[in-house]
Amino acid sequence: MIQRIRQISELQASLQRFSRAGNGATTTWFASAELSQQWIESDALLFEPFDDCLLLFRRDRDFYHVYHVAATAEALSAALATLDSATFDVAITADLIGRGEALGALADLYAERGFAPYKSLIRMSRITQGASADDFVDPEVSVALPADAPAILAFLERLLDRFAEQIPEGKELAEACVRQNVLVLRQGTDLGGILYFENMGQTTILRYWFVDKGFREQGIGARLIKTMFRHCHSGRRILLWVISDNVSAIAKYQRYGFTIEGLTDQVMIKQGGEWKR
Amino acid sequence: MEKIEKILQEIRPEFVFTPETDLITEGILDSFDLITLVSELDKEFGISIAGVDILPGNFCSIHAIRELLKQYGVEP
Repeated sequence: MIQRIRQISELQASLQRFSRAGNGATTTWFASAELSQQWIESDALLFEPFDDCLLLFRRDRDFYHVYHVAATAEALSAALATLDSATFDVAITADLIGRGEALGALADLYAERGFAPYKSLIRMSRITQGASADDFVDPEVSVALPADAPAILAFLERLLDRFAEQIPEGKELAEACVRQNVLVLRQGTDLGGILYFENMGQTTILRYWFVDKGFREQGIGARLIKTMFRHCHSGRRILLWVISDNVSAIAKYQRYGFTIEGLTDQVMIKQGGEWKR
Repeated sequence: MEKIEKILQEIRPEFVFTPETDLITEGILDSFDLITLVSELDKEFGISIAGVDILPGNFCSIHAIRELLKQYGVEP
């Protein structure tokens, strides 16, 4: 039976009970405690326990993400099979993260249970040498304020693929603005481009870097990313995920010193409706 | 170089590790790295770290990992 998660302790207890227990165990649940707490507070997180497997569901706009923690492939397969009779009448996506054959086997398992490959993302990283801060200071690139969050969210929702690119919720974005993790470059009253990054110790995660279609080829993206490099100059690496067939974006990242790591996020989707009660 | 440090260096060669380095709050290991680390420790020491032990606190430093391994009868 699918239940709503009301407290972080409830989630932690469930995860520990069903967490990895030997070889053959897999998980797709990588959310931080802070992010989990935000999802719980917005009533977006559900779970269903099975023997040796836990399924978690997160409501996101008009669809759900499914995550699993499973002790064995058989337990996961049995749990996913029950989705055929679930009450969801919307799309469900799963982000399967891994490498090589192990990732392929997991994707095959989801495919056997009615999920189809949707898109894949690859992780890229840029190792910095630390110490030397780029002197580049661009007076037109500013830190977004919390009041800017609704406009930035609308901008992201217009440009991003909601099934594949993990668009943040409004509250998450507003908090990122408070932490000064969102850079904007305005063109008159319009947003020319935005860059959203997160710092975690010596690692920076470049979450979104977009220039509005009407303002491309004007160097806006370069100005934003150079400003970010200045903001995180003391770190050791910068990570990002990019859609694997976005050749031009990958080439652009490579020009800025990012290299492909070999970690893949295979997004699978099960369209809603077919098993609606 | 001790085994734990060697495994960490293989997973994240760009960082410098000391016994006290905070691997989690310093952003050296993320969730994906943690899964890789657990798998490598299992393989290296012939153990199977249980799910209940896969907590950030058990992997926050080389010292913490060493203490965890001791609970599995391993003296790294």
